[in-house]
Amino acid sequence: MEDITLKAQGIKTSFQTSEGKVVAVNDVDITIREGKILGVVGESGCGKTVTALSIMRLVPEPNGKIEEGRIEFMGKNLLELSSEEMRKLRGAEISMIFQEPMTALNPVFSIGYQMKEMLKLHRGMTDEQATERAIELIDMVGIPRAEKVIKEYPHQLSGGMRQRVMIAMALSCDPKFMIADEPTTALDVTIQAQVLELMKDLNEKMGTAIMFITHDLGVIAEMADDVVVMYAGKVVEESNAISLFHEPKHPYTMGLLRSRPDMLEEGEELQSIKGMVPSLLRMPEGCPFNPRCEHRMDICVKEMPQLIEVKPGHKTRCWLYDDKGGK
Amino acid sequence: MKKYLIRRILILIPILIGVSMIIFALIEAMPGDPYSDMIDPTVPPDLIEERLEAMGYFDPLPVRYVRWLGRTLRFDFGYSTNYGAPVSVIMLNRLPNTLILGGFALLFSTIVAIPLGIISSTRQYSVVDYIVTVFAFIGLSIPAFFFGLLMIRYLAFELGWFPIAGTGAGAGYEGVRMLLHRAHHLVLPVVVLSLLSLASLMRYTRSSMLEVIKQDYIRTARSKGIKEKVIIYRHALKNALIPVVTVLTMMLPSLVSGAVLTETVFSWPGMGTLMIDAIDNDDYPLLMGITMMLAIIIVFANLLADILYAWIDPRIKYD
Amino acid sequence: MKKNEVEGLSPWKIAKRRFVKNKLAVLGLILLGVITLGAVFGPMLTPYEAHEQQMMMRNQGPQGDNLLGFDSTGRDILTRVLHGGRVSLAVGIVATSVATIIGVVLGSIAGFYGGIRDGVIMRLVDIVMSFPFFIIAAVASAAFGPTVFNTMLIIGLINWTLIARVVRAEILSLKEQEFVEASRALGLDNLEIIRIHLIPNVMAPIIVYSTLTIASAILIEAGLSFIGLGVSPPTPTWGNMLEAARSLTTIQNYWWQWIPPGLMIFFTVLSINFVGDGLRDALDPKLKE
Repeated sequence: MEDITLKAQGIKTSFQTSEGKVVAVNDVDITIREGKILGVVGESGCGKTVTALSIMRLVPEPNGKIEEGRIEFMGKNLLELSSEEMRKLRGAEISMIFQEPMTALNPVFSIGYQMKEMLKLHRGMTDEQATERAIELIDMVGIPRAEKVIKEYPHQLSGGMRQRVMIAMALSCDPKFMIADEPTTALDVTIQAQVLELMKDLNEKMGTAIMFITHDLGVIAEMADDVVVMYAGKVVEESNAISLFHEPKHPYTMGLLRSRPDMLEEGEELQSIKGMVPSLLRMPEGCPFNPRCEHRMDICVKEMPQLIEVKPGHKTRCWLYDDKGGK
Repeated sequence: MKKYLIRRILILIPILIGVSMIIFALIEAMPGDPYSDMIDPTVPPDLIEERLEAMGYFDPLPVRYVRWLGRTLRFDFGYSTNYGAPVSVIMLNRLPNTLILGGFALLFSTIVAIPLGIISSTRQYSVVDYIVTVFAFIGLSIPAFFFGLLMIRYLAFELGWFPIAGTGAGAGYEGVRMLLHRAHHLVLPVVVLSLLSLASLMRYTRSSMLEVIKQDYIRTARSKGIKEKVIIYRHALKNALIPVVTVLTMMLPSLVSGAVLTETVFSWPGMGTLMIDAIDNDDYPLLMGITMMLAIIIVFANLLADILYAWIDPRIKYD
Repeated sequence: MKKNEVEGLSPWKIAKRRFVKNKLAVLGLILLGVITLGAVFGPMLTPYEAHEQQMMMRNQGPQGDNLLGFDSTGRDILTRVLHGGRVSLAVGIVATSVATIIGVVLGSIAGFYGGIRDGVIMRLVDIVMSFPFFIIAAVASAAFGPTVFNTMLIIGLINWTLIARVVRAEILSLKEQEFVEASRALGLDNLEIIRIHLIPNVMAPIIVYSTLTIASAILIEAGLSFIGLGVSPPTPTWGNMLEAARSLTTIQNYWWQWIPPGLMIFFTVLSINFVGDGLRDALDPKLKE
């Protein structure tokens, strides 16, 4: 049995909106193995980001609320920590980088300030030590002229540079675990590849476990050891990356694979998934995917399927693989 | 930074010219002949003509404007027809009083309004927020001079807590006692003059903070484990202050306007009361001098704000 | 399901719904209605004339029919407060109309054409804005005479900058949108585009800022009249009734001569501000979440 860095079970997070309560994440389990990369994939609005924010305990208050669940990390249940204890973990042991590098850095503070702030806070460094470490980190993420860059402000850097700074910042205190929420979506394709490579590299070098959120299966194929596929606030498939790409089980996962030209096997046809992600306010009865599913059965519109293990280490939430589903 | 400042200074020139033209045109339009007051009534009419001629009264308008502007640039505003002394001397006598009043009002409203605005934004929809909002509405709606009159009636006359009028200068005190005596006189005028700017600054700080708190970089700061207090008072506030500085500069003209009324209410011997004096007495050189002086003060205060801007917002410094 | 209902309504209906939900705004609207009715019909109901002097009653306090007593020349204060309301509200509304027309015209020209026209207009805005409102008004009123008409005009002429800036900013962003391109392709000329497409789309901010401008116009009138440079007596306005309080004796001894008009200004401006704020929240789509 391998060591587990973080294990989240049964997370349920809801939001109060003007149209009523919305459950954005419903009974989600996430397991991240030490030093590995877990890819979380799904269309926008499927609850990937909310899952991440729930782990960080940064769900926007007062409208958002983690209702149920347990998040085990370093022998503690994160959901039971006081907010002060949680704050001390953030940045030091768990860190996060975001989708929009253009807006994620504070425009009125220098890069150096924003980096050193964390080092002083979590590692108790003096200003000089922090400066030295900041330069080292900037250098490590492949930004030239590190001494100069720490004196610069976010608007003076390009998007790719800023994302590198975010990565350097997130890794500055040697956290055990990092969440990357679509870190390359906003970047140019060429820059994307560089940043991905950098993250993979640092993951190997520093042994930081990463939860990598993306809607792009190609990125998952490149980065992830394990994969979780989410749809409408639920986990619909969970497996290691190889098994998932070779033997996708859930019709949604198959659909996602067929909609990408680079994922097709020879002779297969490029297709898109029909229909749209349902609004969280108007969830269909039964399996949330049923209105778009080509294998829809009677039971699919009545009852939500369970997440079942179809082969060792490979789980899916679909009636096709359930005895009750008729197969 | 240098480029930015030079650009800001260059923009000031057309503004000052425009302002001066408006002032000159308005004063030209005023009824009455200012020069007649300057001349002894026993002087025969043909001599009056000659004197007026000598003063340049019959020159065409543009010539008079250019001459006036030229002298203004040399800080020569002519002679007050009412006081019979150089306008610049009279103004310099009164200016400190107005600067003290306005300066303290600005200081007072800033140090009260910004913290209240922050507290009210971090506790949106709480009791504190509600009280601050209602107070802001009252401050924006009550005519400051009426508020001043109420203060005089109830706090000065009825309760005797504060003096009724004046600056308290010349009471014969010295040292600390003099300062205290003058500060005592300053309280009501400063509170009255601050009221409007206090209220609007509070509203702007609140909405600016609410806007900033929603930004991504605040979430980043939280994900870094920064303490909530530091996030609010450092990360958020520095960003929120950028639009607040704009509002602060936009408030300066209304502060000057407010000073005219506040000075009237409290018989405060400043530029405001001097201006009303000048209007009542058809003292045109003095009136022109005062308005121009106030315009210059405001324009330079704006420049100061621009510098403040660049200091807060690095994006300006490096453009 | 509820969401669908909201989407089906016109923007104005949604705005109305939001406005009605705002307690302060509704309170303001009611208060403003009462004040306006009082100013319009009140003078017809009092048995006195605004200029009618009863020498024996000079400086007498509230008594009998004269709920608010008499002023220093023996005129009934309540009657003058009601008459004064007419003038003060009229000055506020007319001045704001002048300001709105100037602001909308200049703001749309600046925003739509840009370039040198924009530069000149915005410099003009800078000049007017960097100058104390009140002082231009005071000097202008001294120059042209303190009549009701002049006061309206002067306040209007210097109070347009806010509206001009708002309209310019809105038009700048609107003109980049596709429907403007489309109408140009359809052969509409600039003036038609401004009139048909742009102005209706900036109506919401114009309404909001005009409302707030009425409040500031009433305050300016009050201030000018207080120092004797607004509307001059014997025509009563709330501001020039307060002029009585420039005498310390009056402040100390005859509260009924100056507190009622002062409170009227306060309540009127307060209710307009409530309404304006409610309108802003109701009409500003940026606040829609």
